[in-house]
Amino acid sequence: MDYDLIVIGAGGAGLAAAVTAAQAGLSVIVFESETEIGGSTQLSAGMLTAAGTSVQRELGVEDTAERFYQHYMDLNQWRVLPGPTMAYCEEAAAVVEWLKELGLELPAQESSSAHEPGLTRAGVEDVWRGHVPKDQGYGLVQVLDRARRSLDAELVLNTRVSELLIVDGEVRGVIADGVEVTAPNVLVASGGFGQNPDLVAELYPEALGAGTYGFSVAAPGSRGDHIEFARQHGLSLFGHGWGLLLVTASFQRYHHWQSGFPPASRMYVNAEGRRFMDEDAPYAISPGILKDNDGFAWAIFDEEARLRLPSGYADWNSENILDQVALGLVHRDDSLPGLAVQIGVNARSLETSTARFNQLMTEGVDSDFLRHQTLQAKGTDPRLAPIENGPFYAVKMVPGELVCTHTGLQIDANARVQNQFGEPVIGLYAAGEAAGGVLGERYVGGGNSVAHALTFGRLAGLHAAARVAAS
Amino acid sequence: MKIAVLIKQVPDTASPRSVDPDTLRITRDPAEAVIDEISERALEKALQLRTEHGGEVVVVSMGPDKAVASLRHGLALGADRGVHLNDDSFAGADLVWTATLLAAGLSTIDSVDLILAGNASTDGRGGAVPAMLAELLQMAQATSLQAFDVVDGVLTGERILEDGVQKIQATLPVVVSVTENIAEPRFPGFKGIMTAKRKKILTLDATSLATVGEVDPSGRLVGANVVRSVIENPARSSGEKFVDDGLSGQRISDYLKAEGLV
Repeated sequence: MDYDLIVIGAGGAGLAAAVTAAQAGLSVIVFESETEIGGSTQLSAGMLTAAGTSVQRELGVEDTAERFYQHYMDLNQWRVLPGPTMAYCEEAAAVVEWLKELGLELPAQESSSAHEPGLTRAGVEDVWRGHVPKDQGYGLVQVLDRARRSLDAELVLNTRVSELLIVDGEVRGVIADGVEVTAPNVLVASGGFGQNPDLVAELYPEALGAGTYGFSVAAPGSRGDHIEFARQHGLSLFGHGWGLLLVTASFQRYHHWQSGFPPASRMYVNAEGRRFMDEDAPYAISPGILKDNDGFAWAIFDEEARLRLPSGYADWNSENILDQVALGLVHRDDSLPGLAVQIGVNARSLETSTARFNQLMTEGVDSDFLRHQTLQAKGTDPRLAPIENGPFYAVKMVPGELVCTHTGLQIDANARVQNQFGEPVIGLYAAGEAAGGVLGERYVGGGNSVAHALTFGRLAGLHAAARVAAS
Repeated sequence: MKIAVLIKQVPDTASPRSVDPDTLRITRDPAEAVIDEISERALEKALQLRTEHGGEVVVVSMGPDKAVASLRHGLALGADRGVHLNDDSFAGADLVWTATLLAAGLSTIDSVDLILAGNASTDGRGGAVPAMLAELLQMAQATSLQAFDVVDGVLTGERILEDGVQKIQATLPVVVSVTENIAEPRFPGFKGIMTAKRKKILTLDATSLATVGEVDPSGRLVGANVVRSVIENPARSSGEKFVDDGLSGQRISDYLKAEGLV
């Protein structure tokens, strides 16, 4: 055989597998369809959700894999696969330590956001598990690729793997650029299908709910090649209808770190004109809440809040709000009842909600939705300015940003893929968004996908190495 | 048309590059060695000319053993064969020796019409080798071109100057050096990489090149330019940070004036 391991995709999952396997002495080749490495991992904050790490210990945070597993399963109503999910919860910490050994800088300090290196709250967990590295996802990919180069694991860019070669339930290799390349182990780490509208419509239709306000932030190579492999070979898929959507403004087209952030002093009301959620609820839970409320929220704020928007962001800045009013995407009225008429909500409900919002938020204790706790976790003062100075604005918030797709090749605790009859395909592995079974309907929080990708990439590399050593 | 393209393997500009204070030479970490991007652009132009005129593209490189990886990359991009000038005595060769050795190596290729190179490498940054080659090989030189064509044995090209564009014309054979704008390099597909393994690379050492020169105690050619010493750049201070107390505008203004920047 040409190589011990073929890796499809040079994102976080693929590179983690390549480095792991190369460290164990395997000959590895990585095929990357695009002209640069990194996939969606490179575009991300590079955050890793893990329990029981040295970073947590240094900050006096006590945590265990079992506690992580409990939270993960509870949040997902136990609808993800326990076997591989437990493996993820158990191994993620070791992956964090391994990355630190490779040179990833993960300072033991408290962080209040995904862009500040350190330990932060990933989602709604009670103990902080979000590990933010220096230099974000780009830094993470660079650390992995530097290790890959020094271990002589080969990388071929601009080459899309079109076929998997499976004979009698065993992997034989792949076809890349029309050339047959053989190996007893193949890892499918080709990313999600966020850039494939047909697959989104078929497997994650919820993402189409935002209509023309929707956009994908997945890397260009995320075209769902793993789905095609599944169909070619009757492989089992898991995770239909699941993925991660972020709540965004109708006029937003980029991730919030470029687009900007809505004013803190904003209230979300539903179609009935009633406040219905913690406006800063983490995205681990916000899309689900919106789903229960016709799939959108009106963000209500006043002139004072608009003028206080900082400059420099692409969409959420004070001038653009007025531009969007002119375009009809943002509603504006001198009075709240007038605004209610414009957006078609009950005026009495809107006024009642606003009065109560002002009363609770100026004191900084949101007894209805406990928003003050979320704000405090972000290091923000929970006392917010009231919504009282007209004109008033209403922006439609929808789950518009498609971040990850969770339908993937069903894996076990060792990242091994099985066919639709439940029979393992010997030598075939999947990791990252191409793998299904662990990423559920609810995204646990920042770092879920990247940590999951690197953990199963590493587990696949270790398992392939064990197979090669045994043969 | 027969085209020779000079390829150089250099430390990746994205990696921490350094000069070894003991050997007084650039530290070349194998993990960080890449083909100089300007070499890829020159090669891309050569491949385009081959498509237009037919013929052969030969990649030529002077470098240590691992430089063969860059030659293979050139072959994977589409060059027909390679020539590797490789000898321990070549290590640390100065510009004059580099040009002398490359000229000797290029002379082994019959009937060359064009010798293409980048205008300067990203590590040595001498920018003088192409002109020296033209003199040694007694060929016309057309340096720092951002575009050129060849019609009926005549090259016409453009060189950008600070205040205008110069039109250059030369009769083949010509030594040409190019700037970044000459062409966007293509990406090799896996098929190209596999095919490249079967293409031939000829290795020429000091004996095959029949060069005679003085060697120093460590066995390396003594150059016309000698590096006497190397000093590390002083570490940059991280600058002053202060929190705005309402007077930061004044502080910044004072600083700019004190530094003579306004």
